[in-house]
Amino acid sequence: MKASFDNLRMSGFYTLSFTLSLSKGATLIISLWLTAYVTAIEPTEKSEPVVSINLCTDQWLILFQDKHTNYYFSPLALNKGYNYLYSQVKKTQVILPSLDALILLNPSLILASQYSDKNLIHGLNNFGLSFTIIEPATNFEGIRRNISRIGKLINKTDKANRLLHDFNKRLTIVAKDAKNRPNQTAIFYAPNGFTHGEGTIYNAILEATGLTNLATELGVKGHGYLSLETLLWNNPDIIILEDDFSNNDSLSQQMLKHPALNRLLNQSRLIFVNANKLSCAGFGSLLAAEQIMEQR
Amino acid sequence: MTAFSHNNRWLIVLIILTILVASVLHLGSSSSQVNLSLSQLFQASEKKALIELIFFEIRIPRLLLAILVGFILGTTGAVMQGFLRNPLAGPDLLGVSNCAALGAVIALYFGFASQAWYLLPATGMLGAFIGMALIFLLSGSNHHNLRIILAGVAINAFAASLISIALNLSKNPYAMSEIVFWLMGSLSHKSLMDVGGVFPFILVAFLLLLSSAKFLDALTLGEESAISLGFNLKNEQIKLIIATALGIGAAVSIAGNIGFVGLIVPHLCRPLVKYQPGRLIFLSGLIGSLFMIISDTIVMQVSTTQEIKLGVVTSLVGGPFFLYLILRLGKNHDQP
Repeated sequence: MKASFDNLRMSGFYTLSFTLSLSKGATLIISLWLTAYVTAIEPTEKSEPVVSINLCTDQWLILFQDKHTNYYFSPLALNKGYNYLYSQVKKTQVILPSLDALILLNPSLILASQYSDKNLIHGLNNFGLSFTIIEPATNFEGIRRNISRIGKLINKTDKANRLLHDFNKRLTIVAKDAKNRPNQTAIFYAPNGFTHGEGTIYNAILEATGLTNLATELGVKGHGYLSLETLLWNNPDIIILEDDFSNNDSLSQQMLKHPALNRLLNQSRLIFVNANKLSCAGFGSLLAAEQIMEQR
Repeated sequence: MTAFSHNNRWLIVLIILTILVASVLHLGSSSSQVNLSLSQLFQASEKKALIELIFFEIRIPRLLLAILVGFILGTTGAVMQGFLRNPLAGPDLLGVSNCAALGAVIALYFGFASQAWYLLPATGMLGAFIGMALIFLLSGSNHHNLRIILAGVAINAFAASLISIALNLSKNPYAMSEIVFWLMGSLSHKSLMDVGGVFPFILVAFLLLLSSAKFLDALTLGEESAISLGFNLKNEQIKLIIATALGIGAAVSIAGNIGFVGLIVPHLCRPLVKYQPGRLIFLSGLIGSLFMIISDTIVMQVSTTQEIKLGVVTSLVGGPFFLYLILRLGKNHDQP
């Protein structure tokens, strides 16, 4: 493994030398940066490295990591606004998902998503690097399948079973609690009127918490938009906002300060959910459901 | 205001009546999921309070903004074309709109906009002011046609790239969608507060532009003739820069960059006022408002799940018109 890594590093060096002869100044800077970067991400003597190149696969991999693992994540894994597990990621574990960096690292497995860069996936295929595409789940059953699948892929089935057990136990508590609550309509509402209907994890979260998704009732399939007028006209019992929208540094977000919406919010219940729990379908979805139940 | 002939007055009355009819249609436009007609506002029903809320807090502000933004885009386009004696001049093509958008984007993403209500239009105005000043600086003292357009194209591209940088660097998840917003403009989800925030600036801008009417008429005889008639070219230039900064800055900061209105409206109106640039100003404002109301009504009627952007509709009309204008200019040049 170490030998092949060195071979690859040498071939990378020759490639860089060749390009250096083509254009001098800019390539020199890139080469120096890349050399420094590769040194920074050189694997330790733990296990073979596993890399995630997508936020959602990052979140899965973080759940499985321990002191014996050698995992690398995409830069978004460090972003507090997107990743609820950001505090469990070290800066040294972050890798820019570029083909050259991945070739030099030569991981045993790369986890990607269907939203990953198609050219990068094509490149991984061409260079014979082992990668797996994890389909994003749109319901809780899909999340369970992904836990088991990733556990098998990285040879951590015991850990996957423990995670599954915890997941099911906590989801049952949410469902049990939801049965004792009145039947209410709710909607996830984001700037620009963005919302989530049938076939999304958001819809599954609302179902799990015993709420009827207004967007689904109005025929929204997948993700879509509802105008402020439509929202006012249908008057949901609960409006769910992602907490990151409380800041106002965007024109889209100013819509959430519209006087008409404010009047509706006087009648409807407003619930905030951390946006970083909703960025991917996974364990965060369960945490979002729990957060909704706490505020219902 | 330059005196209008008897026929012109009737024309103005006719256009105002058309604007009223278009406004009623705009207010009664049903969106995809809420089928509300204007008559329901006057009928007793269980949902009367809700209907009033939708009309007074959502639909009327949107209509008023369409009128105001269309009006100022039309008047500014007319004055810019008259002053620069360039049929291709307009706030969007010369990059003034993008400079205003850049100012507004900076205010939004650096958090100034939430400090005070006037800071968003103010930064938009500052951007437009810089854009206009740069055009005059780069185009030289004789305002050569090609030089003005080239300066405008360069400023436009530069401002657009700075907007992209500002939004790319933003940590806000909505930054990318905002690029589309600024490039395509929209009047949805606006409130009466937004109307109140831009109205004074648009009014002052219009009055300043209107005060240039006689100068623009004199300018058709050439700069030297206009100066000999007592007009101060420098003062008129400063007035145009301030008026454009106030009007376009305010309009763009609230509605985004709605293209082609300032370019095509004066061309549509010019034959109606016998090519007198002074008379063109007010008429361009009215037709600009009408054009904007009709475009926004189309947006509301055509949109299904996601509202198409207003700038898309104006560009669909403006793009082919621009090509027609280039072809016509080419023919005029080819003629012996």
